[in-house]
Amino acid sequence: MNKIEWPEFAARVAEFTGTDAKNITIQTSVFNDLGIDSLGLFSLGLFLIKSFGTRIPINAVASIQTVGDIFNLMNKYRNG
Amino acid sequence: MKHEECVTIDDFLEFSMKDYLPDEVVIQCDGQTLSRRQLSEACDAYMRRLAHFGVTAGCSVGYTMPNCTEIIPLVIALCRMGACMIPVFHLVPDMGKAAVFANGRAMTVVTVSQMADKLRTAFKQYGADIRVVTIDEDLVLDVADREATDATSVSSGYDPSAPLLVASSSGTTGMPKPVVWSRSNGAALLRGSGAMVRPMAKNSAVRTSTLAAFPLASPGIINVLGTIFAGVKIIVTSDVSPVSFIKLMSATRPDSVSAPPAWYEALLSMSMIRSVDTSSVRNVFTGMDFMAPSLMVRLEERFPNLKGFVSGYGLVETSNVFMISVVDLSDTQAVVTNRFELVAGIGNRIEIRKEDGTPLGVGESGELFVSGPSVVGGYLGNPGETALSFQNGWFRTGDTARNEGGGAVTLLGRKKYLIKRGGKSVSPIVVQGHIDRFPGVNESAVVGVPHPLYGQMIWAFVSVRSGAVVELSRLMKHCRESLVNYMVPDQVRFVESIPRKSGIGKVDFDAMIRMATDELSSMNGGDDEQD
Repeated sequence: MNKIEWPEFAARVAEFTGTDAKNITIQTSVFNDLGIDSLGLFSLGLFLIKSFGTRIPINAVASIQTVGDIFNLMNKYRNG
Repeated sequence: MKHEECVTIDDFLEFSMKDYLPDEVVIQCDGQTLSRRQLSEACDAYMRRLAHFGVTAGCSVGYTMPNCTEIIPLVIALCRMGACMIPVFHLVPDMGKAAVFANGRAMTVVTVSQMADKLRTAFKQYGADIRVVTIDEDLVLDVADREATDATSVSSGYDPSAPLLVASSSGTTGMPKPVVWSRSNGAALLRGSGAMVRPMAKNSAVRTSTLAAFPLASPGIINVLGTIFAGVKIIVTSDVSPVSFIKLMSATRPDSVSAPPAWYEALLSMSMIRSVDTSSVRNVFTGMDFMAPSLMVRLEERFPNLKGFVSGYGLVETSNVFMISVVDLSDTQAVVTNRFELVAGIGNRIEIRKEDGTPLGVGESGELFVSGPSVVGGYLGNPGETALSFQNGWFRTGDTARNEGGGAVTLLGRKKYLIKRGGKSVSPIVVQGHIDRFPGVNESAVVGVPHPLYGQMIWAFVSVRSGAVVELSRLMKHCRESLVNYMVPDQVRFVESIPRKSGIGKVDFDAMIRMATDELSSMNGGDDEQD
C-alpha cells in the first residue's frame, strides 16, 4: 500500500475534528489542542480507518498523544 | 359553567352550545360540514337509533370507517349513553379489526355500508358474535325517529371510573397493549385538548379552525372533541392523505394545522405545497413524537405568517395530552423546544426519579413518572405489564427528563435511547437540537451504538437539504463549539433521509442502531481482535 501523505492525512483529521488543516501539525496534541477525549480518540481512529482503509491495533492506540503518533502508526501498519 | 368546570360530555356539550353560535360549522370533512346545531340534533338522533339496536350504558361499541362528519355526533351519542367505545382505523385488516373488537368485548360495531359485509365475514371467521350496524343505512334518522319522544337513553349518573374508550399503546415490545380510558381520563383529555388550542385565540382575530391529519376512528377522537368544545372548527380529509390535506388547506385556509411531526416532513417533501397559499396558517400543532428544531425552521419558512408551535406530550397510558409545550415565535427568547408544562387545572402530577425510585430535585435528570386524573389504571388483561409500569398510582413513562420545577420538565428522550457514553449520559435530543441548527441540515437523528470501549458511542445520522452542502468539518466544528466534548458525535453519517417506521412515521432509532452496528462490524477496526 502506498504511504499516506501528510497533507491528505491532516485534511482528514481536520475534517473530523472541525479544525483548520493548516493548524494541524505532527506535534498537535489530540487531547489538549483538538479537545477530544480518550473515547473521541477512538472515534477519530475509526474515521481514519474508514478513510484510508488501514487498521491499527487497539493497544497501539493507547500510546497516542499527538496527531503525528497516529500518522506514523497508520503508515507503519499500512505496510505491516 | 366555565370550560374548566366541565366534567361530563354533557357539560362540555352544553358549554359549547351556550358559549358559541349554534350555526357555526364545527366539523368539516372534505366538502361536508356540520354546524353546532346540526351536531346536537344528530347526537339525539343517533342515541335513538343506537338504543333501537340495543346499545345501553356499560356496553362496548366499536366503530371503524373512513373520516366523515357523522363520526363526531356518533361518538358524542355513545359517550352520553354511557357506552364504551372501541375505535379502529379503517385500513386495519379485517381480521385484525375482528381481534381488537372481540378482545374489547364489543357487542356492536358501527361502520359504513361498503365495509359491512367484509366485516361480518371477518367476525364470522374469527368466531366473534358481533352485530354490524351501518351509519349510512341503519342509523339514518327517519321521520318517525324525529317525532319520537321516548328516546331518553342518556346514561343516568356519572361514574368517573366507568370505561369510555379502549385504546392501544404501541408498546416497547412491538405488541400493542390495550388500555381502557375511564370517563375521568376522558374529561382530563377534553380539558387538555382545549388547553392545547387555547393559545390560538391569541394569534387569531376571528373564530379559529384547524386542519387535522387525524383518523377520527382512533383514540384521537377525544382530542378532536376537546378541540371542538373549545370553540375551534376541525377540518379533516376523508382519506387522511397528504395530497388531500394540501388541497383542503388551499380550499379552506385554516388558521392552524395539526399533525404528527412525520406528517409535516411528508408535506414539506411534496413539491405541490410550494405552489399553495399557506399564508392563513398561524399555528402548528403536533404530538405523538418530538418536534425537531430543524423541522420547526423549515415550517416557519413554508408558513410565512406562522406565530407559534404547540406540542402535546402524552402516551396512551396518560390519555394522550399530559403536558404542553408552547413556542411563541414573537418571543425572541423562545428557543427551547422540548420544555413541557403540566396542563393546568387537571390535577396531574409529575416526578423525576432515580433508578431506585427516589424523587430528584429541580435541575436533576431521571425517569419521568406521572400520576393523576389523566393516568389509566393499567393494561387490559395484562397484570404482569401493569405491575411493571404502574405502582402506587404512578406510571413510569420510560422517558427521561430534567426537572425544571413548577410542574415543568425538559424532555431528554426515551429512556431506552438515552446514550451512556464512557459513563456519562447523553440525551440524543440535545445533540440533535445542536446539529439541526447547522445551516443546510434538513434533519438529524442521534443514537447510541453498543461498543466495548465506550459502552455506547454516539452516532449522528444527518440528512441535508436539497441543494445544500454540509461539510463534515464545519458541522463537527459547530458541534465542538456548542456541545460539551463528551456529547460531540463520535461518528457522523450523511443519509438521504432519516429512517422512519410505518404508521405515523416515528423515527426508527433501532434501524439506525442496526446500520451503525453493521458498519462497525464490517470495519472491524478498533477492536482488540485486530491486534
